[in-house]
Amino acid sequence: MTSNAIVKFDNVVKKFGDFVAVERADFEIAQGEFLAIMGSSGCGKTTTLRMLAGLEDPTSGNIYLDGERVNGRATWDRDTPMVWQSLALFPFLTVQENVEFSLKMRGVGKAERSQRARKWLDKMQITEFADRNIAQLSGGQRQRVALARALVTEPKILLLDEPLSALDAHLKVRMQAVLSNLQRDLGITFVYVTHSMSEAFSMADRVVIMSRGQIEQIGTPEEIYRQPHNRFVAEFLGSANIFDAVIEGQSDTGWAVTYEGGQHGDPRDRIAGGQGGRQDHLYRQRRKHASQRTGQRRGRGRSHCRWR
Amino acid sequence: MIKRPSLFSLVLTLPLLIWQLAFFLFPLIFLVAISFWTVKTFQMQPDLNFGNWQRILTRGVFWDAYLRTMILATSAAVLTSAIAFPASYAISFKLSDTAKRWMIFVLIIPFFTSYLVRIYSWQVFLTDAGIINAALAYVGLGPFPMLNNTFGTLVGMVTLCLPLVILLQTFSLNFVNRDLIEAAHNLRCGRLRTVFAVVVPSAKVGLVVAALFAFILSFGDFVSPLYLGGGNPPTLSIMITDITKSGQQWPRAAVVAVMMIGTLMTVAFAAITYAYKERGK
Amino acid sequence: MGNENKLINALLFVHIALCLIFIFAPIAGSFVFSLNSDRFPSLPLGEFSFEWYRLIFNDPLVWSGFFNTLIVGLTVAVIATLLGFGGAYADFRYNFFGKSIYLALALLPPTIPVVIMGLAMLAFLSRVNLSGTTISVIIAHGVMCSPFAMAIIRLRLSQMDPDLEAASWNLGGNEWATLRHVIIPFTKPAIFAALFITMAVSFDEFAVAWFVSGLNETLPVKILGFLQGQVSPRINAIGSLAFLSSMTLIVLAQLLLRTPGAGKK
Repeated sequence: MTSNAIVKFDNVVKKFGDFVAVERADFEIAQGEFLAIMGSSGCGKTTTLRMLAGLEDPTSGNIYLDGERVNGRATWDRDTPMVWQSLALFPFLTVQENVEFSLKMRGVGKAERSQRARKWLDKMQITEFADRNIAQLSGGQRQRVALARALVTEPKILLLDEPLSALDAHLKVRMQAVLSNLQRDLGITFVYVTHSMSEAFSMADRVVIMSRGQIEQIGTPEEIYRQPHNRFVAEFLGSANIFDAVIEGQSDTGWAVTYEGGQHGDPRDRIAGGQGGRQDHLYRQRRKHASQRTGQRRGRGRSHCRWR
Repeated sequence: MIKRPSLFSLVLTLPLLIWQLAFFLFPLIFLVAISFWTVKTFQMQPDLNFGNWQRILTRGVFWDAYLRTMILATSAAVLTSAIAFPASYAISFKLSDTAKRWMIFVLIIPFFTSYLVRIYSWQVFLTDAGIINAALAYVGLGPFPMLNNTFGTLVGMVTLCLPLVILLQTFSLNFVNRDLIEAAHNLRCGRLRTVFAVVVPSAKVGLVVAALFAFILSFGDFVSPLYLGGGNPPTLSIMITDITKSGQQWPRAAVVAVMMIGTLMTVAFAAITYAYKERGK
Repeated sequence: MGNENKLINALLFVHIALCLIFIFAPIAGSFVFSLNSDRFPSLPLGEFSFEWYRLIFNDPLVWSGFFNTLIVGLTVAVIATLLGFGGAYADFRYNFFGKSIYLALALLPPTIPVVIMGLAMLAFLSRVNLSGTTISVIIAHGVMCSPFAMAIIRLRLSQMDPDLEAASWNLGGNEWATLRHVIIPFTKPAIFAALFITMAVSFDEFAVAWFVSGLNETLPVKILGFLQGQVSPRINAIGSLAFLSSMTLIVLAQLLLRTPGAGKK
């Protein structure tokens, strides 16, 4: 385990009966990292998160949290708060009581509870709603309550399970900014499960791509975008033209290749695997008229997502 | 997530299980057992004696009562279902949601009134000099004998079953897909024909279950046959109360009870099989 | 809709009205008769009178029956609601081998005819020397009422976001703390509704109580006694009072179930 890793998945397998939910998760998460786990529904991303939270036990393999093996340790004995897709706010409690909940569970006294909850309500800019019922809040306000409730114990790690999926598009973008800033300010680890590429690529330092219980690729958004490990990842990112070609070498702007029909080309990105050998897949051959416009875009990859 | 039962899960799960095993299942098994016991000098003694069974099952009185109870319960079930269906249909299809909720609330009220008091009230209505005959006399009719006969018994049984049957029917009709009906109308299926060709088959399970409940309730009811039907000749339930309250011949009452349970289980099984038969195909 | 037939609809509504009249005639009747001086009421009705109420208020046996009913009803409500809560939560939360048998055992009692229940209870309880005591009535009613409590609470649990419980565990509450701080607050309206409704069921149950109660008769058993003996309009007076108290319980239960989660101002 590298020194700054806070989480380590060591050959973790999770089965439900005969169904293999997670095939072999083997990766680390660094302290202060924003990691997104991304995949379509049923790919095992939520199960991975729930194992980290202690809501599921791995069938085999080990999970380490802060250097300690936590298999079999109940979720209430870990400090791995989660923000739920449904938010799961307690409807019979006020906003403040919701935020105080985990302090109360840990036996923190009333005065301190209230004071610490206030601090987080302030930080989330929802102090004015402290005495309201959950039902009286808007979607965005609830989101903030859920965040405050999870963060009130000042954990080292925060788990988020598709927390934005219930919001409308406009609010989603705003909350993405809130989450990004929050993670940077607090400097704690965020593990963020999503099916949305734009959410994952715009916020995360690194992205884990899962499919059918298997991890297909782990890397920075740029790495994944430029060098998808395999055809699945390339296709999952979408909107790409994929051709078979033989790579001849590097060109000024990318790769010099020969297509099956004998034509030559110089695509920018390729699927990883072969090194200049034969029969590599070629990835994201731009249409001729698109190439001039998109050629110079660089950055974290997010601006490349939408090619038409 | 939890594989071995935790203390927590046991504390929540077990009390009900233990209570029902000890005070529900065990007494019923015990009932079967004592049907083989013997009574000597007013004391029940454990035994494996088929005498009680032989005695009851060879008696014409028992089989008369059995047949009478079957006919009464079947009539009550059919009658109640037939009376209830137009009402359930109207509640489910013709009323607004608010009116529906109110109707359901109103139909729940009778469950919390004493059945005995209602039966007593019917006595007052139905006697020869009672309210109904007095009212009929004003228009020059009657008097009609309505008490201490089958009519009286059925009035009581329908009183017992009607609210429940309407509720169960309404719930099952609420699940009938509204598009099916419009589709049927669209295909020029007449109004009445739509009810029998589309609505009834779609709600079949619920309708059968409702009728089954009416059968079970009427089959075991001893109050209506006794206080509105006169009690003579007896039904099976009246037999049980008579035998039990008039001495220590509980083993013989147990035989009657076991026969009743057997009959109910057979009828219930047949009804449920019938209800799901064509659905499962 | 274009294909509604006004006449048919009118006939259907008349039919509903007739059904309601049939159902409520005996209930309304007993009210009227209880305030009527005639022993055998008929048309025209006799004079208005509180005679029957006066008689039952002066009858010590009615009072003892009332207290027995009250003790039994309160105890049964608590026991049945506790048992029903456990059963409802077990069904909500766990999957285990034999669960369908567990559920059948929990929910079947109301389908067994009361005479058979009565006889089985009587035979069993007299074997363990409990017959003829108030406890025996409580035991029998506990069996008969817990399915109602279980159904009511189970219904409420099915309205709960299943993540709510997991969220509480995740926030540091163990199973007991979660039960206390999440499950019980959430199901509170249903718990009270279950208490009231099981109490009301117990208040009205006469058959099994008649078999097992011996001398400790509850009020409904007393009514059965009145029915067997001389016809007496006192039944109507008791019935009307019992109806009013049952209805109070039911309306309270309804009010609780109608405003779920609105515990706070």
